[in-house]
Amino acid sequence: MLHLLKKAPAMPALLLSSDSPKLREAYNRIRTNLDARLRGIACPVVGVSSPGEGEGAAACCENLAVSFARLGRRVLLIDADLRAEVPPALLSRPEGGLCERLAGEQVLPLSVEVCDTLWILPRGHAEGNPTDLLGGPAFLQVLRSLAEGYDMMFVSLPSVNGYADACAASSAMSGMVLAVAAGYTDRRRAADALNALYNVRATLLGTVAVDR
Amino acid sequence: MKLKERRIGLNDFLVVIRKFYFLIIAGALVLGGAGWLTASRSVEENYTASSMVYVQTVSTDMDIGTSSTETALARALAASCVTVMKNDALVKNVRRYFAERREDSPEENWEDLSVYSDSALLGMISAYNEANRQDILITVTAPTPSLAAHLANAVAGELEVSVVDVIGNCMILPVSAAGTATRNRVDARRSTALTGALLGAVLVYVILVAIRLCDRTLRRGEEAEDYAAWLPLLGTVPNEREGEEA
Repeated sequence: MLHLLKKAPAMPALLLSSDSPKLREAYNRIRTNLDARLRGIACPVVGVSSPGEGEGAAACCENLAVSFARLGRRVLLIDADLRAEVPPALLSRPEGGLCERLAGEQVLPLSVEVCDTLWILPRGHAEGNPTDLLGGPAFLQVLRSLAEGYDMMFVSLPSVNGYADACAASSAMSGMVLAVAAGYTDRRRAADALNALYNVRATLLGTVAVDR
Repeated sequence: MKLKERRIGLNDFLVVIRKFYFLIIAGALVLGGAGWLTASRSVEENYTASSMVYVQTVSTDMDIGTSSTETALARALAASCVTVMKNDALVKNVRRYFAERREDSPEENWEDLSVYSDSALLGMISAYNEANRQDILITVTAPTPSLAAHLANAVAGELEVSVVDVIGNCMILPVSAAGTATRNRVDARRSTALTGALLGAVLVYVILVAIRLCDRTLRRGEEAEDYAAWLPLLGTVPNEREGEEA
């Protein structure tokens, strides 16, 4: 019952719009740790999810992409959270995106003005079941076709406990990062999420704790 | 896949004070204030007046004066008086005493005792006899100073009538009459407020500790790492919100 009293964490700060040195340093550290874990993988694809809704996975994914892009890497940020009612600000574009690409259309990623080495692929207009779209061979094929032009890719995924999308998509990922909101994420739900990813043999790269 | 359970440590109890000291203080202030207000309603004033009487046995042999046996008997009678004096007869006599004084000396403003019940009057009166002494201290605690003094004197005056009839073979002599009554103020505001404040602080603390112990969330990044030891913590994002300045 106590979780009902807890307020969902506010939208975490984004690297693109924040000048906070603390935030920058925190993501530099996460980037370094993640980079070490992805060493030797050509164009790694990193999926970012969280145990539940509103735990900062989308912001974490965006910030990780920006952080790697600032290092000079060519980074593609893909919005595969087809369940969210409103996409993150950076990925909120009216143009077609991932869903159209999954349908066979040649939709190209969009560049981001403020960051030369960052590209984005919005979610597009979903038709059909998101789990089927992300768990099917088309998704893996799209990622492979995109891999040629980038050094790494970050995929924003829906919550693990809420939907099967993240588990279904995890097989196409080089590794998964789980974002947890300190003081908000329930221990049992975190365990459920870890178990769910473990059961589908997902490669777990680590967790990112978002302080409240 | 097994995950570690959280260990409850001393830190769980101390961190509540450090993080929520303001809530504990607020709880102490609220309950302390409530205690003060409640006690303020029951602040009452009363007055105490005392008179003293002396118990003397009636000697059967007028030539040899008071013997040691009679003195011992008088002391025993004094002790008995204290036990038996508070009876309906005493109240009845005191009422009559007051009624007579109201008629005889209207300028002295003797109170109308009809507003007080017998039990209320008996509750105002207390008597004390020190061991091995023949005197009895009559103390009256009443709402007004004049009532206290009048009642103390009336009890001393009527004691002989109401008690000697019961015990017999003794005299009760007045030693000192009640003069000015002393004022008593029963003020429990400070102690009640302090008790309330202490209770408030403890209550809030207990509630906060209970909430913390029932809290099933991952509180810090380190805890997340400790929880799933095999899964590394890549980092902790500081507590900054969209739109906040650095």
